[in-house]
Amino acid sequence: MLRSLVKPLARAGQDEPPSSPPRHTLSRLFSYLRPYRLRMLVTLGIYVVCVTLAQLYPFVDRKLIDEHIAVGNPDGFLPLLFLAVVMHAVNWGGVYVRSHLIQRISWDILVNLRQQLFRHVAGLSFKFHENEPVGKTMTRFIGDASTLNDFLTNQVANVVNDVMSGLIVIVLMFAINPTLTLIALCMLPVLTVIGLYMRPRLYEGWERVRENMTRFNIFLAENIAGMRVIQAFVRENVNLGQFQAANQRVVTEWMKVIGLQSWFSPLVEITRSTALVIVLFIAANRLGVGGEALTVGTLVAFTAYINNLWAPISTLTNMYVVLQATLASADKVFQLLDTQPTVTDAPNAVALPPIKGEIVFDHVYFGYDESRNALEDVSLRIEPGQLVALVGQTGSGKTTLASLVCRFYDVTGGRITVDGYDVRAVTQQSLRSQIGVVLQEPFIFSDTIANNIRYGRPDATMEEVIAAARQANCHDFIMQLSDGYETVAHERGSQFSVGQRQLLSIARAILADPRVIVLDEATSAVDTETERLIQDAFEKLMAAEDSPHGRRTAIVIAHRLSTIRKADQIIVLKHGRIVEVGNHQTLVNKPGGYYAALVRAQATGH
Amino acid sequence: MPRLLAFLKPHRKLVIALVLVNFFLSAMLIVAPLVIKAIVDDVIGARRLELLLPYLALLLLVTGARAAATYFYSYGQNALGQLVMTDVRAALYRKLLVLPYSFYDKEQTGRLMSRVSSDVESTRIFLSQILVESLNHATTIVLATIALFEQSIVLALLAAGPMVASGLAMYFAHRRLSEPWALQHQLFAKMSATLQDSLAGVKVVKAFAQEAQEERKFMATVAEVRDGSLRINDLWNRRWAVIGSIGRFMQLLMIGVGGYMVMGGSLTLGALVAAISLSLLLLGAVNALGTQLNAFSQTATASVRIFELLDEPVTIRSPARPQRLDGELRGEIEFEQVSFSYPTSRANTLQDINLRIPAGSSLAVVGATGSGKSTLVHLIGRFYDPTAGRVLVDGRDVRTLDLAELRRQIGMVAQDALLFSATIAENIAFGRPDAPREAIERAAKLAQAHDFIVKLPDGYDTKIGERGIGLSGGQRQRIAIARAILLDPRILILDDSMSAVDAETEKLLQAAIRTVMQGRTTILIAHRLSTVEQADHIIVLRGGRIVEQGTHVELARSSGYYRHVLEMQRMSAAETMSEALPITPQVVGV
Repeated sequence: MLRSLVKPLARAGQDEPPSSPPRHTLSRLFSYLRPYRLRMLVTLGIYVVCVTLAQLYPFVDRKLIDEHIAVGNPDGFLPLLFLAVVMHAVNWGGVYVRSHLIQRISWDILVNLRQQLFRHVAGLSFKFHENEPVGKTMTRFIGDASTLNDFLTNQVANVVNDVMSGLIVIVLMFAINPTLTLIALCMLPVLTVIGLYMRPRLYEGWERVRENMTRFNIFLAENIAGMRVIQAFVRENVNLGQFQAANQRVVTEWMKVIGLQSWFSPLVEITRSTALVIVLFIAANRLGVGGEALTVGTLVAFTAYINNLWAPISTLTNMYVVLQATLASADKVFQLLDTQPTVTDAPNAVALPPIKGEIVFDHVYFGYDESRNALEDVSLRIEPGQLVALVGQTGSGKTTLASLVCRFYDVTGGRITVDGYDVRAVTQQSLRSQIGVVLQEPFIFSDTIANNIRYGRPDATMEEVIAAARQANCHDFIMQLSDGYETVAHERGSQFSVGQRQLLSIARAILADPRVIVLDEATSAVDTETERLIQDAFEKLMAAEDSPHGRRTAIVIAHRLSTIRKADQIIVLKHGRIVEVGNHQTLVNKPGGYYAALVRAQATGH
Repeated sequence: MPRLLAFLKPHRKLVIALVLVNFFLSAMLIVAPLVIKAIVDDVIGARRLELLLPYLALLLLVTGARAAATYFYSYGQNALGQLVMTDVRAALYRKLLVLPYSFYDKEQTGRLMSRVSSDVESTRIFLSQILVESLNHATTIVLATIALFEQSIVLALLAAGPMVASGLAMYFAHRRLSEPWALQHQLFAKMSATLQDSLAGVKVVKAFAQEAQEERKFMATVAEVRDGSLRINDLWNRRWAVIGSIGRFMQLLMIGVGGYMVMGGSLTLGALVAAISLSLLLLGAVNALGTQLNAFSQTATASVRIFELLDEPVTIRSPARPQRLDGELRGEIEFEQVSFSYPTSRANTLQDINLRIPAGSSLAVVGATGSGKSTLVHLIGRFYDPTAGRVLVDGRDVRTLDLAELRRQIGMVAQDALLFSATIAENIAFGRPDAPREAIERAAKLAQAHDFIVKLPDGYDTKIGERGIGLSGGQRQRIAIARAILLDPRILILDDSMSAVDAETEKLLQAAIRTVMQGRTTILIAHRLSTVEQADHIIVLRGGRIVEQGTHVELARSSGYYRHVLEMQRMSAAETMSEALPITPQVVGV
């Protein structure tokens, strides 16, 4: 029967990949409590004390009524009343202390979990970050982590509280009158069935509302962001229709759940009242009024106890839903934590000493997946201080080749050395800190301009920051900002033009002072003046005039003929293989050459 | 407030029904303790067993009636909430549809979203819950107080003290905490933003080997959220220790005093039991009211923001009696002494523009970033109104024409090639949702988009954007061009709309656009002079003024800005050499 009662939830989790058995997930989840087990035990102890005290209230009240008030006996009335006051004071002292304790345990767990997640995710390789949307990973940190934490602390405490409360109530009811207790308990299965039937269906219903709500919000956000296009294409009426349909879907789903939910508390209330009425009726009829069985005190106590029994059981029927939701979150979190970084430091990795900048590819093979190689048998030698231009069409392997130098991926065959060190034999930290990367879509952090520039060297002084900014031709526009270098960039630096963001990222690379730079030239057109500034900044970055070691080694994914012309080596890639190598002069004159054809196509464009 | 209540007006029957049901619920709440009192005094005290059955039947009846009323109330209250929310949302959305570009220039999507989602939600809760329930609690308080005084004036007065104290404590606790709660929202948002930044920029983080620094930044924000949350918890725990415990203390006080009264014979036991139940009911209602009084002021601010948006002036709308265009436009455009400035800037973005574009001819607009190129073309479709001068289409001031009629004749391809989360076909048919598939494909072919579209997994039915695939910048621009071509507009405006298209495709696209331009008035904005060269007429903008104009040949011979740019581009050959790399999909809503 239980299976049919709780059926809907099985569907809710359908599209999740098969995961480890729930018991395993659960025990792993509970291992997060281990460091706090002592504090947790003390806290749960207080819960038990409090709940016991609280459930004694009706018992004491019954005594006050039956043994004193009803029979007009004031002896011992005041001391008992005083005892009741003390019990209540102790109980509430306990409630205060336990909230304090559980909240602290809860935050300790959550902070640790978030730190563990962050460390893990930051350590994951490019492969992971390229495939997982940021929003999805964020949900693990925020929503799922809180769900787990809430389960481990509040839900565990609530279960202890509810179970203890239910048991104590039943014991005390038996102590008052076993027959009446058994009669009262008759309605409990009905309550349980109602709970087990409705809770999962309500949960599923609200999930559906939430989904529709999310879809509606996405629709709305898109419409607001795209309102200019909507107006330009005179689409107002069509979109108003879509809006109303989306809104109606939310309303329909909402009212469907409400139609069910509105029954819940009336039904619980009916079972509770029915239990009370049956108890009173039987007590009065079978056992006689006013005698042992049905005194005023018993009536008062039973009314209270039936109340106190109904509340925890109604909550406990929800545990199945809570458990399912928690297991779903736990699966996702553990799956993330179990994702292994594909690039890791070797156990005996050494720190790469300061390099000159010689890079060698030795018969390198690489594929993003097993089925297809992105690079095949690539061998090349780059001398320190050389400018190397990578040329080829989209998908020819330019970006892949550049990424391998920084060891964002590991080669599947062959090897790459920097100054004679295999990149897999040195620590990632020491390798990457000597290589500067300028991406085509520069990423600006929501931090001050100064901190963005000193990103690779957080200890750089303000003078150094300004010097780097001057070299990268961005000092002037920075000084025009309201707060100069202390201006805080909006999300992703949206207040800056693409050109300005490129200049900032060049300044960042200059300040980091790497021996090797990997540069992805932007394809999007900026106005001619900014273009000149960017070219000039590139020049200075590569020339490295301030550096005692002379020109930096530069690997450029080149889109501009002017850059390619200056290159010491041009590497022409096609389908992951090097098809031509040489400088502009030799390649352009090569009869039937791929590069020569490209340049010709370019020239006729004018 | 009266304006807010106006949202309830269309549903006044439902509101009245809910209020009545509420009144009934409150009354029934009071009946139960009174029945118990009767059982205690008449059945148990006076030993009249024959009365038990009627009383129990009454108790069950009350429960049943309450259950039915609760169901109706819950359903009705939610229905009211949804109805009101739909109305408010629709009013806001309708408003958003007519607000001009200048409004969207100053507002961020995120802020507007919170108007339409969270502020509307607050308003819904206020109108459908807080308002009716406050009434409910107030009714309960009145009825329970009367019933309590009926039982015993002494006990009623005794309960009054703790009751008032509790209600006030609740009210002030919420008031004291409202600021820390708001702060906590900000701290939480900051934590999310920091995390988002680290994850979105993970390539830079790893490239610069700054994982540890990012962890420190993130953990600092986590610690802030923790400290804030613990501070709030402590504030609340202290107050709750008083509010939560006061009921039982009150109950014991009543048992003590009332007990002596019963023993002294001045009160029946049933009255004591009923008085205690009633006072606990009363306490619950008082506390709930204390909570809701706070919510009153909070929702008030939320609805003020909604009305601010609803009151936003619509500066651009069709005239009451627009001049009708007789059939199709010819497409002649004229700027007469046009000046324009954005409300946010003091300087004029456009200054004394005089320009005539003959029907069917093409014009190229050249100039540095911020010279006013985009602004100029946006005046034609009346997305902004000039601050001085007139813009004429076919000799008629655009302000005298029907907006929809005017805009339907203009195909606009904007800089950012914004697409929607829908299929590619739906995106191309954006301006003509009923266009047949052949027409869509024809437009895509002209825009050089057909070839890459058919290679996608579902061809024209491939979903893009949210949960769909990402397209490169060049691909998005080509779809945006197809979208404009499909309109078959008399006036075609291409605002720097080929910037991300690779050189080879651009050449094909230019040829295709030359075909499309036949017989239409076309305006091109471009950085690359190879695109500009083919126009019949070229103007150069600088600081919002036309500083040079003529044909390519004329301008190339002059010694102005155009010549300068031409030479620089030839020198640096700033042309892309290969297909643009796929960049992050910038379809909105992602």
